[in-house]
Amino acid sequence: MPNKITLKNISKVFTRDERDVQALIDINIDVKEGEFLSIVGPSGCGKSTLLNIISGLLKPTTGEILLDGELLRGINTKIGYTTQKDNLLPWRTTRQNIEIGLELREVTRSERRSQAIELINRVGLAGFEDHFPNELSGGMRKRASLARTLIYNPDVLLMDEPFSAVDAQTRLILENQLLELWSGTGNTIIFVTHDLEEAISLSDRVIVFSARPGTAKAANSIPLARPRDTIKIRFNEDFIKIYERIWKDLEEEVGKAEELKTRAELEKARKDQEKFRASFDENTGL
Amino acid sequence: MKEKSKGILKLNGQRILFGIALLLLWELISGEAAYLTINFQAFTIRIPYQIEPFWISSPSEIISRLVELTKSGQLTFHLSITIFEMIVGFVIGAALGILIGFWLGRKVTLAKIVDPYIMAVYSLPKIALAPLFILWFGIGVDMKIAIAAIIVFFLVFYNTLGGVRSVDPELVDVIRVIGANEREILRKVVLPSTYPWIFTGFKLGIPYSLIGAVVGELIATNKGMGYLLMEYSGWFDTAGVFAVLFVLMIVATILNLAVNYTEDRLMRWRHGLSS
Repeated sequence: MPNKITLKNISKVFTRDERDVQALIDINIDVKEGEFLSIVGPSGCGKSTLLNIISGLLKPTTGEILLDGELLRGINTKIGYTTQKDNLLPWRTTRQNIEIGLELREVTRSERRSQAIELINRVGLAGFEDHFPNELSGGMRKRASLARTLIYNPDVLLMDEPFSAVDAQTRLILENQLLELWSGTGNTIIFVTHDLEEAISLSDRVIVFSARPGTAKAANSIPLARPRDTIKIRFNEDFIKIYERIWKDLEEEVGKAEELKTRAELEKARKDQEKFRASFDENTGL
Repeated sequence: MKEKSKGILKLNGQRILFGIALLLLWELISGEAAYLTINFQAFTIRIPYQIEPFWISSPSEIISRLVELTKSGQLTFHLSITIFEMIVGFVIGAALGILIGFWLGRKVTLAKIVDPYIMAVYSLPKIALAPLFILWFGIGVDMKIAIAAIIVFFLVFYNTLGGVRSVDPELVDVIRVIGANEREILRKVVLPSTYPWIFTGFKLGIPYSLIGAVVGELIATNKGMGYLLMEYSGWFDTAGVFAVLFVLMIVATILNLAVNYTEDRLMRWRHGLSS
């Protein structure tokens, strides 16, 4: 399979409070066409930043991205992006939200509608097409947001912890549904999560990210047969072995991230105190 | 659902009874001044139980005055002028408020530069502009329209500006990734997300446009509900004053009901599981 997406030496530096924070460093990843790739890592490791960069919403500080061997500049509609929040337009009904990709491509009204209805049925939202996002449950909103991306059939799907906000049972159902929707399409998926079980059960390959500055620490291919049932597969012996192996890599990074986070919080508290003292001295004339 | 509508029916019944009781009480205490006198040792306490109609008029008199006003066609004449001023003033003020609010909302630097000046004009009591408007527009209908318009303008302007500024950047990003250009983002994301804000401006602006029109008429004019108020007050005709106030109250109440109804219909998407 040829490479669908190539990330070359990607790094990203943010400037916050006049200080540079290295969010990502030296990222080199090849994603094959039709591959389901997961990125797992501790929170704050820059996973979401990487997806923002691939989607074209954010510019990397260094490095380049190739899509089908060609340099990617800015936003490309061959790449669909499902963000962590569902970000449905609250004033549009489920169907109108799902249709928006076709609306922007000037597809006729009747064609839009029939495609949207078909997809609504496939993601299990039948009966809710005329509801507003406010009238849907968290899981339904996730499905609607997924359908909104699928409807214009992007070659590459970026998914940022799409199921993190739904309860554990709904999550298992949504994961299976995602695999069903994806199988046979040949689409490439880059899936970001902090849930290792989820990553293994869905993916062809799992990349572990290090704590900040985030970089690809280890890649593990998942040689489990498809089609998979994301619930049953968790009791598979191979699954457990793979889990244990990857967890060792991940555990270390989670520990580091924890340490970083605590340090940052302490630093912030110290600074706030200093600021307070300075303003106090100023105000009292000392 | 049935229980609920029964409850509302009962509540409305109680409300009507309360209103009738109030009117009855009013009718009863209106009459030749009379006091209940209580002698207590060296003190005399006088409690009024009837008040001269000169001060408070009475519901029956007010109703007969309303009937008179309606029959003579005076009410229709003056009321239509006030409502005309109010509507034209509202439309001009609201349209300018939306346009300028939208425009400044997109021009961050310009908005920062002009902000203190707009704020300064905003802080001015708008009624104080009336003398200036008399110089500019005379004492005709234009002057009242101008007062109503400027009051409505600021209410709608500040709300629109707030709406444009609070558009969720994530929504914009998501739609951009799906393939929208700047114009489509404006039309499909920015504009709809300001609707509730603009509507809040309208909601505040509608009663204020009535206030603007009536106050303008109180200051200088020869027609409209404000004029009628001044006339009756000049003749010491309390029943007439109350009759005009009553009509204004009805107009304001109808407007409020209409706005609330429209809001419920248009903003259905805001109510849902989470609210």
